[in-house]
Amino acid sequence: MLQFAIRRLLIIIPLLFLISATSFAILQAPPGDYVTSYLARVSMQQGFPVTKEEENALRRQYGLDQPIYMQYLKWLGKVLRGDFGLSTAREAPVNQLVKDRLLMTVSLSFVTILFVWTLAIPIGVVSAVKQYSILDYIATFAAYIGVGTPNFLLALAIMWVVLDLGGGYIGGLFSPEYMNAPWSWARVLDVLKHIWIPAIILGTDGMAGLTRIVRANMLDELHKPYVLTALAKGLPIWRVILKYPMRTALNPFFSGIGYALPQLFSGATILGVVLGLPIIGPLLLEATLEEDMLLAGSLLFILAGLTLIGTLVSDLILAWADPRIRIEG
Amino acid sequence: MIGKARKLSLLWAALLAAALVACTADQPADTGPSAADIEQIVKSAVADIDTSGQLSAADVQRIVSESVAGQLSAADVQRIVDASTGGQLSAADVQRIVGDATGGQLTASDVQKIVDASAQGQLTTADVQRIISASVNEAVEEARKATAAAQAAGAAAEAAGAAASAAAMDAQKALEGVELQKELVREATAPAPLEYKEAPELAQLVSAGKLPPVEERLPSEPLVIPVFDEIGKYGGDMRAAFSSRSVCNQERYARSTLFRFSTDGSTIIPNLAKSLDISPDGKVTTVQLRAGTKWSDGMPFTADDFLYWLDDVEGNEELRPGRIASYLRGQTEADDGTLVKVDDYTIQYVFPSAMTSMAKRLTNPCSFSTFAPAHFMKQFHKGYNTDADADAAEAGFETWVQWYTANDGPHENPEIPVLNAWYQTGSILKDDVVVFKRNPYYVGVDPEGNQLPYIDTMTHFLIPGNQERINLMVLGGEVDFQAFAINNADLPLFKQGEENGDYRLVGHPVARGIWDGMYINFSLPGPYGDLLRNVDFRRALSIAIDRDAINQNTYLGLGEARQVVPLKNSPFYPGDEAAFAWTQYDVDTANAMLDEILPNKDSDGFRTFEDGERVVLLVDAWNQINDSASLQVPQYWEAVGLKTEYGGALGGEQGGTIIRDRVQQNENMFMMYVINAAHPFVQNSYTSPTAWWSFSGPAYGSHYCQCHPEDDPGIETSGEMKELIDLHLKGTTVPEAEQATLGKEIFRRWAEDVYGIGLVGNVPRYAAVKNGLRNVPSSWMGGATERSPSTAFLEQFYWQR
Repeated sequence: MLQFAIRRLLIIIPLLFLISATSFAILQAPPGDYVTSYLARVSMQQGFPVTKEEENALRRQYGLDQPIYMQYLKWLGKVLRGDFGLSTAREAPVNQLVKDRLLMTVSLSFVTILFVWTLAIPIGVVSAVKQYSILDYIATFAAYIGVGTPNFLLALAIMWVVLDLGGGYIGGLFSPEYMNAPWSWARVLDVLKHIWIPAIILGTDGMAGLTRIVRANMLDELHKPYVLTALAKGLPIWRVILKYPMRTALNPFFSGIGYALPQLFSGATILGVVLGLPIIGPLLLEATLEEDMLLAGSLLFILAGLTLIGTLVSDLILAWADPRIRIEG
Repeated sequence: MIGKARKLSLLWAALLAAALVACTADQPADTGPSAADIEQIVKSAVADIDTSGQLSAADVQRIVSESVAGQLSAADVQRIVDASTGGQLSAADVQRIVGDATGGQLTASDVQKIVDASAQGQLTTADVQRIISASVNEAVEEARKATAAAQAAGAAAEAAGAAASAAAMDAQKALEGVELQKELVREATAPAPLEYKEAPELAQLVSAGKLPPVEERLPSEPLVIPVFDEIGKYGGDMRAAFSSRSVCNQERYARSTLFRFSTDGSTIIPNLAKSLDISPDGKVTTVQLRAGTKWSDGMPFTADDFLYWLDDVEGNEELRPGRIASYLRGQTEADDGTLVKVDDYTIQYVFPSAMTSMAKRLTNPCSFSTFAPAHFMKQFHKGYNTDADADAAEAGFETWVQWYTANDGPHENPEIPVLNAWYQTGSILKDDVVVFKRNPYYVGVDPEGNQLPYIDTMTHFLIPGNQERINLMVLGGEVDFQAFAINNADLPLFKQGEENGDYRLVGHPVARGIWDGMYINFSLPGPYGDLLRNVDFRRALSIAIDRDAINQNTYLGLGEARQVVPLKNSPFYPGDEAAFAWTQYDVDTANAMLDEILPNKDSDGFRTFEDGERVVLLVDAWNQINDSASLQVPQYWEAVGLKTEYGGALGGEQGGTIIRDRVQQNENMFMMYVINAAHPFVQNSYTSPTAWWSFSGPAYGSHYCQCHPEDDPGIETSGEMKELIDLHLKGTTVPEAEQATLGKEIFRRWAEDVYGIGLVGNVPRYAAVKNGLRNVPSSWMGGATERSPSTAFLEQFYWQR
């Protein structure tokens, strides 16, 4: 087990290099760079053309005059020392920008996962056990709606309804008075007051999907002979279900942990924009639009790292939770 | 604002200008009479009146000639004028004389003022004749002498008449200088309140000894900002949301430049600056600052802050290589200007050739682009901080230049002192919400001497790329003064929400005139270029479009079908005939005209070139807001047999690389954009191809500006576009009166020769204003160059609770 973990950790290193090099190359693909994009936005507003000399000076300033592989190596060297470089558009260290948002991203992910699990598992189990009952139909119907509705649309609809009922604007994770405040108990409580709305909206999609998976897995297990045997021996039905078929049915949850973080990282982008959440997704979107190479590249790097670590963690949990799974090779 | 300014007579203006000159005259005080001497003269002159009832011409002449060299205050001159009134000239006489003398240059209200001032004077018809001609011609010789002589002439015709013979140069140009001065000087000398008051929070700090008293914080002559409704009360917060992190846009809420636009957008008025003076040859623009102005940290704001910017920022080859900053640029690099410190509170912009748009330019800079807080910025500058490189590395930057640039404005480093009415406590580049607090050192007061602003704080929400969220905030009443990001397409929604959100919609015009206009690429090579350069082709395309339908679909009918021309009240408006030329929807005529040019059609009914290749036109939109109108164009052109493709709305302004690249490669055909037709002589790259992003001819623009001589040499401009550029260039060297003629000609050509296809313009913009927010004008001029909503004077808004 330990050996497996170490080996997997070692594989992550070359993979990260590969991924970062690829993402750097992809970010470089559109014509122009940050300076061209910046000048297109700014010089037009100001109404004066910019000369080649000034353009080059800007490039020198941001280190964009060097060949792309040099930029990459320089950045990589810094990353290895834990410094993700400077965001050209925000003129601030990437570390600082990410740090501010990472905590909120992780908190939101945590609350969302909590919400998904506490609802998806019981609903899935119930609708499998009581297959074709009215409860099952309701759960199935809700699940299809949940999977079928883009969550940003749901967010807009909920915001509109709340507003129309006189509840005010419900976006963001902080009340205005706490937005720039230092962390305190009051601020934490304020976050808790806000975070459940995006968590529910984000969770609807995942919950619906997971309910269906649990239901299908449960249905597979419920009719196996060992369940029948257990029941025949007189064990109470709920105890049987919770102890045996459900454990197997839960495997998708464990393998899903690996993707939960990166998914929220990028998957919540549109919702983050719509609800104005101070999380990483919208930052990544802004960075790519502004051709802010180092910020976008660093975010993709973190994203890749999280995905790799997440997969490893879910593999380990899976191996621990399900004795049928063997660790090989 | 202009109405008030126009009420001034040439005479009165000249008098005050002379006073101003006198105050700042180059000669040391000991060569002329001392202030006490003049005081004596004036007193005796006034005494004269008391006894005889009339001031003699000789008396006044003596006062004036002596006072020019000395230091006569505005109040003194006021007394002289008061003294010299009381005579017998009839209003009709003056009217006639003025008309003769100035060739109609003065407005009726100007004349009225002269009449008011001198109607009861003792001057004869002949005297006044000479006064006027002197005041005009003398100004020709040299603005300072001219205004002084005009003052002299105002009372003593003999001397002025003699001086008139010295006149040599273009009279109109000189008169223009006087006109401009007149308006500005008047603002500067608005009667200052006797005592000053301040916000309670500041009074507390003063009594706690943490802040100097208000008299010491204000300059000796504060900026007096009139109020729209009534004198306000201190307190409250004012919230607004922004759809981008644009520094220039955000600063339009709270910013202080040397000059600013008046509420109706017609006049440039002094702001941080006290006054402006343009030399008769147009080469030297002298700006007076308000003595005693302080940055928000209490440090003095002087000419040295300008010099620091010029020498250590702009002049530093590492920080700003290449040509000088845009605000000091002339037509070519050889015409670039510079900046001279005359004394602590006087600076001059000096150009080798005439440059008459400096005042307008100085309304415009965003962030620190003509001056900088030297005392603060030096800590980042290697010339002053020898450890700058090490400090930069410590802050996470590679070089001191990077470090300096990352601290070069209040949007980047919130610690930086500013001159605005509110100072920032956060960064609009990094934070999602920024609170602005009252600047205790702000130079503005209301007419009763209460230091502005009334409102304690402003809260700005930065919400890039999320219009829905801003809409919901408006509807939910979560913003108080929302002048941006209120899209006209959503107006019914906002109107409906007025009561719920406790706000009102306030409409205002936008100076640019045209909202959806298609630039046509004149520098496009090949057969398509030949088509686009064919005026009949352009006219046919123009009348093939049903503008009224677009106006209804996109602007709810609020706009007006028109060509690319400025607003009707602009001095550059070419007249209705031109403005609406080729805007009448007429498919049959369009088809007939196109049949002459492209008679061949393919099997699908689309027109082809002679070789049988189908003609495919390409429409792009540079800004997302043009998406709606752009989508409607292809159907109209396809109806007259021209296949048309739409390239999409993610233009360069939103960071779209494809369309931007198309422009850089000179491959664009029709580019839909909000064409800024309001200020052709300040920003000429909108209406003539002088930059690579001039969509009228990117290749012409590249060639003109020589921005990338090696890899983008461009194409030499010829024909009508060359003439267009020349018209624009000439406009920056001539006085305002002549600019109007040139501007009208420019837009007559744009409209009648269809240099661009204007669709809908004159669309009002709306702001959502919370109920209870007072002193908000019923309308103000909108526009980027006008820096709206600064034209609404947010400093004097207040909450009535």
